[in-house]
Amino acid sequence: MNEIVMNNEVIVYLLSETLLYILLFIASIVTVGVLKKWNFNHFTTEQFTLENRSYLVMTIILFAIVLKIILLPYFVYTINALSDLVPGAMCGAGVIKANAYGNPLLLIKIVILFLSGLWLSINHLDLKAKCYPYMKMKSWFFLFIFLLMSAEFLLDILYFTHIETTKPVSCCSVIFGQTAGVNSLPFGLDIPKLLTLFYLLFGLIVLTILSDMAWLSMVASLLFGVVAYYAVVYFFGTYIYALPTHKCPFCMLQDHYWYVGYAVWGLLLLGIFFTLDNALISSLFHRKTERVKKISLLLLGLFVLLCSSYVVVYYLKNGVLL
Amino acid sequence: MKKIIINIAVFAMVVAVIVILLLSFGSDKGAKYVYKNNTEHKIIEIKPKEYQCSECNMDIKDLDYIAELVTQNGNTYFFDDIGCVVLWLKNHSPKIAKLMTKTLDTHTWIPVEKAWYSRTAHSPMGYGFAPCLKKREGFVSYEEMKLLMLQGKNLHDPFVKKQLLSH
Amino acid sequence: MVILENISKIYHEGTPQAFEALRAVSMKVNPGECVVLSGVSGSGKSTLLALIAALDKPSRGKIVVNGELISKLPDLHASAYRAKTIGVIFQHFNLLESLSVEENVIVPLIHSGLHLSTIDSMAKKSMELAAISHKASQEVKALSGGEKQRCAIARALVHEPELILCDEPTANLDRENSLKFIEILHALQDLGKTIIVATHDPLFEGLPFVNRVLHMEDGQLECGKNE
Repeated sequence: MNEIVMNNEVIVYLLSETLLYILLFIASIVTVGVLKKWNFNHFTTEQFTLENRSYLVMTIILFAIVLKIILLPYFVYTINALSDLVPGAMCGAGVIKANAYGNPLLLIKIVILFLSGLWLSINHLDLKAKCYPYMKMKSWFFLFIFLLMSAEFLLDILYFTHIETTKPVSCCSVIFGQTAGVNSLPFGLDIPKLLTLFYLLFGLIVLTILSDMAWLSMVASLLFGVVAYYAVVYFFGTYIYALPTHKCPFCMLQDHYWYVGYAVWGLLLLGIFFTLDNALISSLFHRKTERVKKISLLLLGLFVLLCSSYVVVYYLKNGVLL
Repeated sequence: MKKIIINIAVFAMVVAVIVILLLSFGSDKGAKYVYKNNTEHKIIEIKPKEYQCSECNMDIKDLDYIAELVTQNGNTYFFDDIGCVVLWLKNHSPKIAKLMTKTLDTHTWIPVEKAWYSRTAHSPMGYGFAPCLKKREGFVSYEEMKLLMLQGKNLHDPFVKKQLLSH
Repeated sequence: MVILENISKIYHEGTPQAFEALRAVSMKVNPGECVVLSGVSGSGKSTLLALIAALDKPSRGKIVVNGELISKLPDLHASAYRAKTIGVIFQHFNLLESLSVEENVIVPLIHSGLHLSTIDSMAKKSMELAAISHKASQEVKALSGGEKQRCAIARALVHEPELILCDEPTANLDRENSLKFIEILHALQDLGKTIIVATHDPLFEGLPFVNRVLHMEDGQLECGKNE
């Protein structure tokens, strides 16, 4: 455990998380105070003080959340770096499975990423208005996110302090490869159906965004997220690795593959986030979101293009598919 | 006009997605783990991919390494690797009527206690243990194999792998 | 145009150094009026103007300018309000010394999104109104006090604000330049601008175009009575 906790990347990561958690903890206490007494229609000294304080606190929360979002790829980079220390691990896949805390930690980080992004959107809308119409909503939302961040912080510590360097872990070929189980794909899909769904859902997302069908685009993007994950791991990934048996979401984050994994997963997550953001902002807050629509279309389009290009390039180079 | 075309296209895509998902659900045969009513406690001959290993859930493809466990009440469980048998028995304590394995050298069914186990075979799950009728140098007994599996000293452990394969 | 209800401003509230600069001030300024706030230094005139300009927030009370609640504007909106609705003329001019007169006048329009030709014509119009066109290309540091004040006036007017706030505008001017400044104010009032001047200069008393003179003392209007 000591070699893990004393690792440079882990020290930087845990220190950053701790500092941000402290900031957010203070912000949460102030937010509770704001929530108790906030009434914009009052012109008392107390209300003016609350408004000044809330402006400061929201700025702190915004700063901390943005940094936390940036820390997520650094977390992934850290666990990839730890694969040199953990026996049996060839990439982050093995390190994540090193103990029972890894998968829940990764999952909660992704959920927090999405919720934090939504908070940033609501905060932006609130500050654009002149009377803080969403102050109470975003305060309650922040407190909920903070609860999740507390669980995440605890999981971070438990995870890194419980990685054994003497116990071998499974490598990605065991976790994701042929030895992973009957059929690793969900809903009983096979590769042709998975790919058909992949492109169909992408087309559906494009059309629903362009025609302002908010709820349908939200459902389609969530389904696309699941399908895209499996498509990348079990199909497109094999073309990134140029090996039909190499199925892993983490190896593509390494330098041998020019860190393309960050682009693949980053584009997918951000694309889905902006699609959800567009749907929620336009349907719940009735605001026009032309810029967000364009960003989500661009990101998802780039994602699909990037994945497909690996297959096309392989075929053009070799004349066959894997 | 443009809106109508988009609406039709969206509708068609939604229908296509639902159809694909339904077709996939429908064709998923689901996992098959147990052969029931084997009250005569016989060895059940199975076809490749017909059953899944009760421990690791893999399709049983390679019938050379297969093991079968028959309980007193006639349930027959299948395993693709003798290592999976050991792991499964760690968490389950059925009343065993028969626990048989196919041998790699003679392709016959023998009780697991009677087999000798290689430590460096290309077993389906990569543990390295393969049952044989005849003992050879470096082979271990069932009890020893069980202990080694439970201690994690199989070919999954890179230190053990290096040690065994360098010899 | 400008409505103040029970405005109080306390600096360092909650500490031993707490100081009440304004005490429950209420007043109303109608569109097109010229109102002079007179009083000695420290009476709260500049504080009141700063609150109307949304440069600071009150401790209590309500300020409404042109139907918009100013006293609670978030920072972003306060900047937009200052950029569009008001023009401020400061005691010490607050010009950028190394820039020319024309460049100083254009500064408020930098983020307006207007076309360069429009900005140019607005600047020229504003400099003509302030009678400083002849010094357009001259650096501000080379101007006299009166010329600097006229440059400041041109800058305050360039975005055609409805409300003009002047904080001790003649404090650094001689009598001749002060009278010239007063003439310009008169011309602005004729153009329909609403003007509030905070000053202790006796030249502002008895001016015919001034609608009201309100006396401030110890953070209150009219010797303890508010409007």
